[in-house]
Amino acid sequence: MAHNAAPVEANHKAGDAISALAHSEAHYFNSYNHHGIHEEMLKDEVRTRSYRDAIYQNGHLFKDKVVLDVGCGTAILSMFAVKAGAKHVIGVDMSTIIEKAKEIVEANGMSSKITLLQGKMEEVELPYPKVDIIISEWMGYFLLYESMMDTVLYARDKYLVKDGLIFPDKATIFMAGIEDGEYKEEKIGFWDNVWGFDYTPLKRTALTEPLVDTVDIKAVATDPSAVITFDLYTVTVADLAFTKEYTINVRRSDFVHAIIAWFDIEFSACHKPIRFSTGPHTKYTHWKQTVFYLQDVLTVEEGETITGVLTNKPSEKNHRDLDIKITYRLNTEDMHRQAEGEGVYKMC
Amino acid sequence: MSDSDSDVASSVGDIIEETSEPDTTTFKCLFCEKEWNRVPEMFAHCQSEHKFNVESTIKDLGPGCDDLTIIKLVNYLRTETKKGTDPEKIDVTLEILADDIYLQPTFEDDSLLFEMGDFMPDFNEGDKPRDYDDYEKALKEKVPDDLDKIRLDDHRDTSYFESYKGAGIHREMIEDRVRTEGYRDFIEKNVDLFKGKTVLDVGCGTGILSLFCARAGAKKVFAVDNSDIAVRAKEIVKKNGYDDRVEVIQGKIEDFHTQRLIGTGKVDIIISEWMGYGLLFEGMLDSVLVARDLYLKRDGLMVPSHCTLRVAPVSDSEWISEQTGEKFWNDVYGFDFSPMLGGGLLGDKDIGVYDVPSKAICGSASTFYTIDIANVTLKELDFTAPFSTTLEKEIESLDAFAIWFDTFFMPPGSKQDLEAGDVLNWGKNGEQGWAFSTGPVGTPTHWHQAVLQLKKEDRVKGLRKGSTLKGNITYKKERGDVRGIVVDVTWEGEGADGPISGTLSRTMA
Repeated sequence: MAHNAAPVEANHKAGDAISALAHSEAHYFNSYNHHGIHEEMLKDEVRTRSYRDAIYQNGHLFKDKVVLDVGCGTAILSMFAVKAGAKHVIGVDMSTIIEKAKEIVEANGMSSKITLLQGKMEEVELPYPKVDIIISEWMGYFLLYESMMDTVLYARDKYLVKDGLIFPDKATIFMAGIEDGEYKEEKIGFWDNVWGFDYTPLKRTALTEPLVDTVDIKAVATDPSAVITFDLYTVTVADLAFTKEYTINVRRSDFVHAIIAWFDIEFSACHKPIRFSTGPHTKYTHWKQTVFYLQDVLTVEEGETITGVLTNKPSEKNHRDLDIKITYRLNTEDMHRQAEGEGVYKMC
Repeated sequence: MSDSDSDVASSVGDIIEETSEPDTTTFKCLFCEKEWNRVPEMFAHCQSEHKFNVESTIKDLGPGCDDLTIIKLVNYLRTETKKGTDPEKIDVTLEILADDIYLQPTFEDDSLLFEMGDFMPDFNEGDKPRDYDDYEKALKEKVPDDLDKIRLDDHRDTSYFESYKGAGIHREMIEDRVRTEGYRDFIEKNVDLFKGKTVLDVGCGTGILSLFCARAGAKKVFAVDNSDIAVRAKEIVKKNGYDDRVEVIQGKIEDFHTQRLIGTGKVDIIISEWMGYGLLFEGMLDSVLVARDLYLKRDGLMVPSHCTLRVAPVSDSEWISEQTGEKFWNDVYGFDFSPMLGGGLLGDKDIGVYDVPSKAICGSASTFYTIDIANVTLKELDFTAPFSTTLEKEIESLDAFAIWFDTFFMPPGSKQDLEAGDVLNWGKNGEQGWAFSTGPVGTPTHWHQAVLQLKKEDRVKGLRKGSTLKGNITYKKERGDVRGIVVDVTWEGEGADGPISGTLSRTMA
């Protein structure tokens, strides 16, 4: 029923009818209830508070500056910037939410300080030829899925003054291995018997769909491994397609059913650097984590490593979709447990 | 996810599909630019204007002329016309039409190729029944291997179909037990209806309904879906050993290719799970009706056979304010976000989709529209119908209307009064057929209920227990978006302080 399929969302630990309902709800609202998305994001305290703190605690950077808010949504970041002393803020968003944002800005008496423009960054005409600071909350699931990073980079190249600032300016993708036997069986094994029929052809499809979900820290059997960092001052759109080697150190003897990925965000321009993580070890964010199930189950021992290559590229068919490939190899002296393989995934 | 939902906004354009209403389709005359929408009229025109008698030409081809030949004939005549050949001088013989080159449409989207039934009057009449197996054999012999290449394609609503191809959404639907078991139970309790029959499954998804039919003894099942899931459905069918009986076709129901494989007027039963939110959102019933008119034998069976739409009043201000996020928007990090109110999850513009708690339902459910799927026309899916509900308790205010549907599976010739039975306990009191409900009482389904909230200023104060609320409900398609719906409700009743009335209009797009 949804037109614009979001990655499968479910409540990881309640694998029953309730998760099906939650999923459908998410689908429905992601597809065509705009406000639901904004409410979810504003309620994501880790996200919104990090931005607020990064802006409020750095009034000296914002004072009398012209600020561009890329993908401004309900304009919450724009209003933070005004409160921090900005001379003027320009908020740009393609969505009709901009109409609501105008009402909100008006309700808060900031209409003279904030200019809101609906349209593509490439097409709108800004009231200032250059801006001193770009603020944007552009991150998607797995950092890059349906992300607006390319729009931020366009704005940077066209409008940011030399030595201008970007909030945030650093994003790092992390990976780890998890024990997830029960849920993998529930999620993938489901297709073995559907009303008495063999549905195993859908197992393959299910394995190619990364799961956006909250992972219990207790399930994580390895140390986190930083795979790639994007520096928003220097990164280019071409860098969003990448191939990076990774090494994950096993922390305890366990099974590994899946590789998970998340990202950390940093505002390094701040007087006191501010960062937040979307990992399993910290507070919930609406980005959750992304779970990539492996074809095999790895039996790992403390001190061993899982190595491989993470490849990400926008899909040729639809550039909003991501084609992700993860190769993996368990490095162990025990030849019975040696394993290697590759998983091919699509976020769409 | 980012603050912007621009992707949502931009995808709207992709899902607009041209309506497939058969009577508005026009096609070009075989020999000139004139547009027609009825084949017999065009034949008369060909005779009078171009001195070409199509009917006698077909007749002269003799018994060797089948539907494939007709398709080739159309393409051949168009090719000759393109070359500038005088209609009177076009030579038509079976030898010429043996060439498979004429399976290739002469021009793209030739709607005339969808009207084949009208070329062979006896094709639809049923007085010359054909054995399906012979028909299939004939097709297999005649259809070139590369038939796929000449499929008439249409990329306009790709994203709608693409969104159905992953495993997640299919699992959600299969796991909706009320839905899947409703279909299964009807099929398994009525195997006699399916035994030896030819079935068409419209929008088959993973093929679960086709498999139920095959397991019940259907001779042949055509499982049609335009989404890439069809590829998986094919594998699943094979894996379960039903590939001799279930033929999965990837394509739209009205596609030339699909028509070629199924043939018109052939199937005994059409099965489909087409219901959307509020029953008609997504407009998939349109395709089912096209399928019915193209493929179903006279007196064939539609599964399900009927749907009823029901409405009930909702009164529960606490539940409503939870859903609208009232508290949240009034103070967001010290800012006033109240403009977001009234347009939130449960807004003054949109139809919301919720599992309404039964305590929030404050009056009797009123059936306001019944769709007899075997007989309903496309036009009747836009309708205005009366409803009447009696308040079951004294309420502070009328806050919303909840709309849901019940689905019925009636055997042929059933005289069952749908209103008379209890949908939640169908069959226990001797009701015929089978039924399931998507209402607020009973197991929740993935359809939930459609909720239309009253504007705050319209919330009526003080309605007494036992008083009646009457009005009309209008369903219509959203302009420019055949998958979207607009629902209007008008109502009047007797309030504590005199007569009350109101109207609302909500959309799902």
